[in-house]
Amino acid sequence: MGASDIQQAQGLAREPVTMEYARFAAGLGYDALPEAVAAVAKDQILATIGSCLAGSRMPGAESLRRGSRILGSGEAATLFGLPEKVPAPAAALYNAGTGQIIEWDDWVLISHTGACVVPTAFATGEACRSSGRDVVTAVVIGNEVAGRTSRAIQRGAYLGNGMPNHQAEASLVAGHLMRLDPIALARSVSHSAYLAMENCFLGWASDSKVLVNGLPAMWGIVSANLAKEGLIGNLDMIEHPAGYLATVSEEVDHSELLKGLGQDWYTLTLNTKRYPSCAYNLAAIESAITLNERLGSEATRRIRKIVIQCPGVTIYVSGRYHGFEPDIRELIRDDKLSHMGLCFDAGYAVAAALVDGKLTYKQFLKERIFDPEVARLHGIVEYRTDPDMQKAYYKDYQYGSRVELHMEDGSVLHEERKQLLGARDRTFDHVEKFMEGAEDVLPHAQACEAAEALRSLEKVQDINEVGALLRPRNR
Amino acid sequence: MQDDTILGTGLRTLAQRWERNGYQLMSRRLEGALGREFRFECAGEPAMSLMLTAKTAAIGPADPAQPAYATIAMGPGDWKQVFSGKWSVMTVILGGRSNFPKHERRYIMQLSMLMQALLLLEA
Repeated sequence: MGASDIQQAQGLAREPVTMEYARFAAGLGYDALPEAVAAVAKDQILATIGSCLAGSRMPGAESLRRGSRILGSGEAATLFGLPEKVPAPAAALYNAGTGQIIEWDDWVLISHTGACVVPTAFATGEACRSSGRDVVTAVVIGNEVAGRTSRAIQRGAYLGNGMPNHQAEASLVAGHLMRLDPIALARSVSHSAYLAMENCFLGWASDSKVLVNGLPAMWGIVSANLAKEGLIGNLDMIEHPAGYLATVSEEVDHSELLKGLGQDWYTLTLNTKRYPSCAYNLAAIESAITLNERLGSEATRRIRKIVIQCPGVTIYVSGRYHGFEPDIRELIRDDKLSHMGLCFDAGYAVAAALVDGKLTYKQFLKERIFDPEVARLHGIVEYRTDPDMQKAYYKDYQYGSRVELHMEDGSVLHEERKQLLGARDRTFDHVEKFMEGAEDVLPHAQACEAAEALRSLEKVQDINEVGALLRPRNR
Repeated sequence: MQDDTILGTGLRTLAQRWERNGYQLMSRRLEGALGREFRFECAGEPAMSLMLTAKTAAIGPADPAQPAYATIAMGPGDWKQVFSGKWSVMTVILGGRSNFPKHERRYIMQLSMLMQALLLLEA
């Protein structure tokens, strides 16, 4: 009886997932992408870069910029929204960080891919002078792999953006653009995933959280380069019982890992956030913006109580940081925490959107966080579980919420959304998001030019042409 | 004799609600919290246990000879917030006032979500 017979008998037979991903990444070309898949990937690139541009306005972005200089100098890749170019790993770290610093990202199936795969692909693409078609293909590779690895570990301890799966796809994205062969690609996954990065739940209330995709993006590029130079790695790191997924998750459903690869395109399940905040809060935010339009900002003073009806998971993420001592607002004021925890707090987002009629990066700056009326409204939010929304979320990923305003005169106003704007079944024009993100960063004409170039990436011969449009000219 | 401790009162309410409405909250992604015994500890009170199934909620004094799947321990003030539904167990954990051992995490999280969702479900 051979080793494989014994494995079969013990139910331990495993498909060679890492090598299959490596062959997929090495062999996929733009021409093999269905038109709809390429279109979604281009939308994803456009929207993610919009997020990065908006994120570049946050105080933490400047720290990322200055701090990552330790990674070296060199004119390789663009920091979106800044004039300079830096080495590709540093650019990936910065752009992945700004892409999530206000939680304005996206997800494929249940994996928040855009903020990892787009910065990784763009930075590597610039370093390799890749075409737009190759960058789009690399982004699709990232989505397809991340969608599957996230499904495989969905019954583990991590949810949503906490899914510790990006070390698998990041090196494949980079390695594809570096034209590594399948063995080198598999080795790159080994180097990328060997020190399996799980995130500490506590860090989601500080700027540390930007590293959840930033580190895999940066390290994925380094790993691909290590493999390119011949550093030997394991060829089965993803699926092995002592490998990556088994290290980061208590349960691994191996049947998800290769399901439909190359045929069933998970990229098509892209959900893009229209507003910066945790996905579970978006329907409530949209409802609050509509209520502001109906009422006007002055009327918020007559609100006595705000009730958010939603699935239990919205309540869970919204209230996680309400138990700090001193409380989260005081810790933010004293720079002991950043705004980040408020990106998960539906109550804060609803309060800010009711007062300001919008939710952008500005509502996560201290000036708005400590606005007395925003603070007052934040303090009068209550939550209720809506059983129908709970069922709809778990059955069909419907992220619904209803916001009720209980006014001083006893009247109750409400708005409800059954699904978030930007869901796969409720889309919006991603140019809107790019332009909003670019608003305070790029001159308008330059932003329009960049949006157009990103919309037609398949025509771009060298992605550096687009990178140049994402570095502000004199305004 | 009626148990009027914080844990006794809170868990009794939780159990009643679970048996009446818990079915409305269940999903495959949360079912890991079912069929496992959780030990609840509150300073100054006897420890109690909770085990949920799809339809039932069994509560009772914790058996020191019977190891629970996970132990959730916190102070009286925090338990009051948890049983009011205002906070989840995870809120207290992230506040640094309850432990979060790695091997117990995913089901503590699932139980935390279920408890709060249940307590904030309008009966």
